Amino acid sequence: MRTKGTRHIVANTLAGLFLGIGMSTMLAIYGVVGWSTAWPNVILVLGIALGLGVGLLPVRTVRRSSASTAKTHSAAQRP
Amino acid sequence: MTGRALLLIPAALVFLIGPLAVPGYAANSAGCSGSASSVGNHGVPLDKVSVPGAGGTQSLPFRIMWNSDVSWQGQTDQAITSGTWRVSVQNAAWLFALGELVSGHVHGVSGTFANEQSQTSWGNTFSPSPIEPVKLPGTYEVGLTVSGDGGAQCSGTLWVKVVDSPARSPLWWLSLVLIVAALIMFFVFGVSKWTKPNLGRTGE
Repeated sequence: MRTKGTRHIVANTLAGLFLGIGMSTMLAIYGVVGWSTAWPNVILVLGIALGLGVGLLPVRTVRRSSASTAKTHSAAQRP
Repeated sequence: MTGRALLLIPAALVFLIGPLAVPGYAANSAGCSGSASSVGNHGVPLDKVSVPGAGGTQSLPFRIMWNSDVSWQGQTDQAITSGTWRVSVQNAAWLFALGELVSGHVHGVSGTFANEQSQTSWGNTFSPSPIEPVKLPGTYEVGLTVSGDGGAQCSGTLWVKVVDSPARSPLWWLSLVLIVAALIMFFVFGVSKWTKPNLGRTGE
């Protein structure tokens, strides 16, 4: 369970890093932000923070027993 | 808790954005002065700047094209018979610094010169593309330093914008691939985890 959680955090943080590098470079080459300013660094850090934030969000889980109950309940309601 | 957040968020924004709001310094120099002009496609004049002068700021940078010529001429306050020159990007962002490291231009571009006639006026024409084959569109603060062997110095900075279209350049493709990869990873490891409930046994 812990392995799954760690993998989730690492993968999303990596995705955030990629997004940060991609967006930072794209905005810099289009001249929206200067290469000699702190903005490309800030965008990169924000990307990593976003990825880490998404990774740390809890994965939604439903207990098997609850799922079975819900299934039975919906079946009973069917005409 | 909400009150604290209301205080902390503006404080963080001021802390973060404050240093980023760099005032637009004009092109400046010490120990020398000069001017430069650039041409665009088909040899049409594109831009010109004087250093020191009002132009060459972050908001009004000196515009050049990667494959076109830039002509410059300058005067030094005193004759510099021989020494070294260096052109480098100032305050480079981390990614740009990484690119410089990879391309082997950690300290910019530099060279040596000899001035046997002890002249104080200089001039030349160059194109960025033979110096750095990978096109680098964007806006930069460029610094020039000339150090004479006798101790004479000349230095200056100005903002330069490479106005070539960035579309389909190597950096553009790299950025696009990274953004698409990031979005796929976010979907696979992030969004899909929220929308699809995990029906595994938990806490039992």
